[in-house]
Amino acid sequence: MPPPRTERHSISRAAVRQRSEVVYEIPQQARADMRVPARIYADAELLAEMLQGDTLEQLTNVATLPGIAGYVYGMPDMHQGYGFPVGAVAATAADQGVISPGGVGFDINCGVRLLALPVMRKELGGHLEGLLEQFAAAIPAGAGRQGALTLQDDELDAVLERGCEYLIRERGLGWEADLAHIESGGCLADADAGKVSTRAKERGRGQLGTLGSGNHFLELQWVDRIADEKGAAALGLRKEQLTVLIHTGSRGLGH
Amino acid sequence: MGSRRRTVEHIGEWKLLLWADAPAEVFIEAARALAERAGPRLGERSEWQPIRLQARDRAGLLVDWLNELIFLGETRGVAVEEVADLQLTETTLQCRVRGARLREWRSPAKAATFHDLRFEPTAQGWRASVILDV
Repeated sequence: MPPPRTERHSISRAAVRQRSEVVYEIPQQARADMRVPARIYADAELLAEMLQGDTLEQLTNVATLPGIAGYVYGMPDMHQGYGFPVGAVAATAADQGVISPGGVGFDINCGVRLLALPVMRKELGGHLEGLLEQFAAAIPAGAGRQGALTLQDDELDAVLERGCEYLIRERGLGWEADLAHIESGGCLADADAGKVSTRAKERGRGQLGTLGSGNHFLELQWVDRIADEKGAAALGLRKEQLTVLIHTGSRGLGH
Repeated sequence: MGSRRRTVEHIGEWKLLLWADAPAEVFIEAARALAERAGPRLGERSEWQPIRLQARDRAGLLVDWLNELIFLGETRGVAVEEVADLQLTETTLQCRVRGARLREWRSPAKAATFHDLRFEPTAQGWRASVILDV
């Protein structure tokens, strides 16, 4: 059981400085124990939601961690979590910083990915409803739902250790070029399936390729407006392009 | 006697508030709370099966207990509704459980967490609160 919190540091709207239309900042001076400032990517509406509850208090708590580097960041989906807010990003120096289980979260490797589709909004025509129905039919969602993939023990270990490379090259689930567009090539170099408990594997075995429940979601979106031309170009995003935003992750395996 | 459990939902979490006359009953209330949202039943009972847990205190046992029940629901398709021979100490729990076989496990709970975990005596008995990651 973690030690009880002994002091609360509420963050008021007055402490949050607007840097641009979609960038806000909480200066390091906002709290005596902050080691770095906090930067938040949100519009005014999202920021107003973040000001409810303990989200910004949690973000500034992260800024007090030993070895914290540069800034702590709040993404547009940031909301109250357990220690870190969900949707916060931070780095600590390898030689002197802490490793924070709270930052990793209870749900290891759960996260949000944006899939850029090679389709523009106007090309969708009248197929929006049909496309969404296909998504719902093809993608298992909800608690405990089973995916289409059945894996034996050695195959699950291969997924854990070789990641997307195994799924693409040996199971045909994707294209070779996909690997270049996934963080770290879709594989953690030091992954050791032997470190994952039998129970975790039992929970997660049937869930590969499923969305999950809770705050997991899949949304069809389009690029409505580009706020950062250079950043958008680097990500291959264009105005009016269709995208799919996916929040999923480890499922039972990560617990 | 009315319900002795209450749930509070928030983005990405499900908080259980439990109270009872004795510590062991808190664990039974926790099982009931989980079973209520486990999913549609098949109309069959599961076999009895033993559970043995060890933790550093009762609060830790409550987390382990809920995680055990979530495991049974997710992997065996069982919503635990009956607890027998429950023996509870400060650091251990053992009992037998059985319940309803489920058509599908639909509980939103993925795991019990240690965040803001409480297990404490009050003037009226015992109360606990635990946050489930969903």
